[in-house]
Amino acid sequence: MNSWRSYLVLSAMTVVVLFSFRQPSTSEESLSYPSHWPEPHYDFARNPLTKHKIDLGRKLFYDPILSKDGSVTCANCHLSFTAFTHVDHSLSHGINDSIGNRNSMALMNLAWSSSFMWDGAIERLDAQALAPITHPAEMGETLENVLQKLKASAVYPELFAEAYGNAAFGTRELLDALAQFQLTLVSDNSNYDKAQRGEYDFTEQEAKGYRLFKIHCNSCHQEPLFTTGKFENNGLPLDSTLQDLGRYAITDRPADSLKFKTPTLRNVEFSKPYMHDGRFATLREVLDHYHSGIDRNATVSEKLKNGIALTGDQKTELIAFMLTLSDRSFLFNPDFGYPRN
Amino acid sequence: MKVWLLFLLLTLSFLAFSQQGTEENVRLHFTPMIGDAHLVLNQRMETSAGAEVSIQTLRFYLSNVRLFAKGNEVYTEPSSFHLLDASEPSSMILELPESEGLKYDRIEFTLGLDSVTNVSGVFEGDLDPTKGMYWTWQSGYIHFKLEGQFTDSEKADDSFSYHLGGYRSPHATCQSIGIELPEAVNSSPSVHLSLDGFLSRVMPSEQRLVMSPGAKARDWFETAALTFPVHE
Repeated sequence: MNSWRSYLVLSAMTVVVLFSFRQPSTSEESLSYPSHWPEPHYDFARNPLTKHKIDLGRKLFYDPILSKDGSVTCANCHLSFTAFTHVDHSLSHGINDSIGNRNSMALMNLAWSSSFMWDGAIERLDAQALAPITHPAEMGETLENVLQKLKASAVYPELFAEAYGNAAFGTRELLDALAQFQLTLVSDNSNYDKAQRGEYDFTEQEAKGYRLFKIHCNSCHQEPLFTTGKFENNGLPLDSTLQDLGRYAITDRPADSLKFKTPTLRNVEFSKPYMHDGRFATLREVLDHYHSGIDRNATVSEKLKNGIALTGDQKTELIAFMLTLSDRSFLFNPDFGYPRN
Repeated sequence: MKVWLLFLLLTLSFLAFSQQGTEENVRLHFTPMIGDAHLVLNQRMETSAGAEVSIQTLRFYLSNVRLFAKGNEVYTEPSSFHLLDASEPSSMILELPESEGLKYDRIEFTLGLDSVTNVSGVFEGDLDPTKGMYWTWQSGYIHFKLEGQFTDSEKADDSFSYHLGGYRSPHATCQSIGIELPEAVNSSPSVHLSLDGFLSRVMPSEQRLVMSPGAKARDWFETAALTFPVHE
């Protein structure tokens, strides 16, 4: 009986304390995207977006606190104005000017992605940030240190409490916030999208390019996301210095040798240089490769074995179409840039 | 901050009250052994084969814990994953609920984490990547970690590091293990894990650093699973 009474008293007190305790912001944000797009791969029902979490993730994305010497932010290699990739660098680099061995991927429409990195080494968006934070040639930091710095900072404990209602934040909240911001990076307002909505008419050249695209490119760079997200060997000769076998290093299956993730073509005008190692500087070089540069090695994609037959004019038409995938309202979206407030 | 402290105290006292009247839990001790002695980290110890070794790190995950009585599964632990770390004695004890009138006679669990847990994105508690059991550059947990060195060797560096795990086919590594429990299970029984077998394979081997998932990690993991007394 005694313990029953104390249970009641304690319950009542707990309720009082809970009400005086700061509640996390729960106003949910929903991701908007065209109705004809497939369902996102990311499970928003399980982990809904909220404004505070997105804002926190954005602040972290642009904060060099994540790197060991405070010199590098996520945006160093994923700049918003260039489709969140590392413009003009074939191989991305990190702290102490160390050079990585791949070209950073463009970040957009990540909610539809079921794997991350060129070789799909990472299967969840919220696990992805661990890789660049701890990689010695990228941010070179430990997770423990990052959390320690964030906890000691004058602003972050408050921001984490607002977002997660829990002053004792940790790995889970850090990774979740970064993922939440990146999930909002949706690009769906290019001239191509406007043409789909009947708000833009392709020029004759673009229309011809679109027809060629559907014949030669769409099986891998599939509309509307312009990628299947699958791994393919697109006939690039092996770089003898980097010796990068791509997906094979992850699966250990010989059939995956030299396969890399098919990147989206959205905003491809801005995401140069191209390929996992940034070996091509222009779209023309990319098309020249597909036309006559295919290395017919054991795992090369069937569809590319004989190259893509294109005349010079057709290459120009295809490029004209690819430029319709540029989405300036995405690239210059004030919600995605460096947070000034 | 003060509100927090108050909240914590209330929660603790609530827990204390709610525990009143219930029986003590069954406590299963996992005791790593080298030779005939209980493992002490960072101390020279002798294996049954006469090798002198010092272990710095021993950590492993147990998951999907189930208890049996007379051939029937009578308890399935919810959200079942545990990181056992030899440097934290309390982590080496698995607490299981007492069940009235039932004598558990067998425990089954998985050494490592299954593929579902691997990609669950929990990242909290024992699954927090700060525990040093996560491959950050290739999402996935290390199931079993053993680091140390042979101390009687003439080599300048006779150390070894095994980070074993992986959940991707064809090199997925998870091992179901079943252990018969002694009759007097309520007296906090101890499960002895002999590291001698693993170390006797390490000694002549050239593969002293296995730090990424793949064929080597799977192969060594299978040897690591043999440290458990009975396995299937």
